[in-house]
Amino acid sequence: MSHDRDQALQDLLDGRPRPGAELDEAARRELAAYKLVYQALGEEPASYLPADFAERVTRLAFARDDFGWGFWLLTGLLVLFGIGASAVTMAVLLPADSVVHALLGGLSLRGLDLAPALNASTVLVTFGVALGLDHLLSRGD
Amino acid sequence: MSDDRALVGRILAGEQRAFTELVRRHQRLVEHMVGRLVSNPADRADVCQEVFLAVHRHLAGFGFESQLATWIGRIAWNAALSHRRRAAAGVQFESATPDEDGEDRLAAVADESEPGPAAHTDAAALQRELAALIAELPPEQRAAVTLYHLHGMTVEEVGESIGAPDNTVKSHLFRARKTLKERLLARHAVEALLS
Repeated sequence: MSHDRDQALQDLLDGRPRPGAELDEAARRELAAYKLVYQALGEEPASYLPADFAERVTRLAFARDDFGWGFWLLTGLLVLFGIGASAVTMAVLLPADSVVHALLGGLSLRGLDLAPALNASTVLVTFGVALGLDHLLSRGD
Repeated sequence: MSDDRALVGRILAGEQRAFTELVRRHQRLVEHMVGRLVSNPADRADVCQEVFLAVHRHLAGFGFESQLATWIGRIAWNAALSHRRRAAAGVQFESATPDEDGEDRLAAVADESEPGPAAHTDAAALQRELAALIAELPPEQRAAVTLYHLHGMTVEEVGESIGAPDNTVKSHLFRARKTLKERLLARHAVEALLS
């Protein structure tokens, strides 16, 4: 089975018959097989998507698009707590005469170790933000 | 093209119904591409959803340098390839027959499901057999024949969708059809196929 003959047969089925090309018996058999292959390739497969796929994916796309005030409020809270916790942690770790201590003077002068408390708060807030974001992002499902 | 432009304009203006319409228009294209490239049926709907979410996310950056369908086809191709890579890396496991090395597996399909005499005259069985053989072609060939034969794209449009030059697309099409024809002839007498 030559490459040329296969090409000629495919050209024929693609609507580009080669002028003067004659089909012998073997080529006719192959052409019959090619016709079945072409038919199968153009066969519409059964659908596997749900009937309301378009509506569902639309809801999801626009839910992701529309974060709203809740998203920004939670994000802002997370950022604020993150900054606070980082600052207090640095105050614990860095020397007493560092700039961080001066900035956090109000907290440290009271003699309370606020770093663990703030870090724990950060974890809690992060958890809350994650729940909030999950709710916001999945409401289109 | 102008119809697509109007539709995209409405979506970018925030009209949800317009996006639903876009999904409906191109759902079959994506479904076919993903269906022929993702071997695990359980993952296909998720990948289709992923494709349309990516379409929505990147729609503002689409400048109509190509047909909208071609662009969506490219996103579907990339998403399916990405899914295949994840599956191959073990992040997700495909429970169905893996199809990374389609050429080698064609022989396996032929050996495993050698039909009995009754199957020779059963058109539905023949269609199933051909569908199985198509599913075992290499991914590039599967994508090319899907876009060309099922969606009537030109060779150039197929090339834009799968990121391949025209000659490569022609080669994919030629080899896919030739392989299928040879596998078919190896298993059946033509007279039986035509009966």
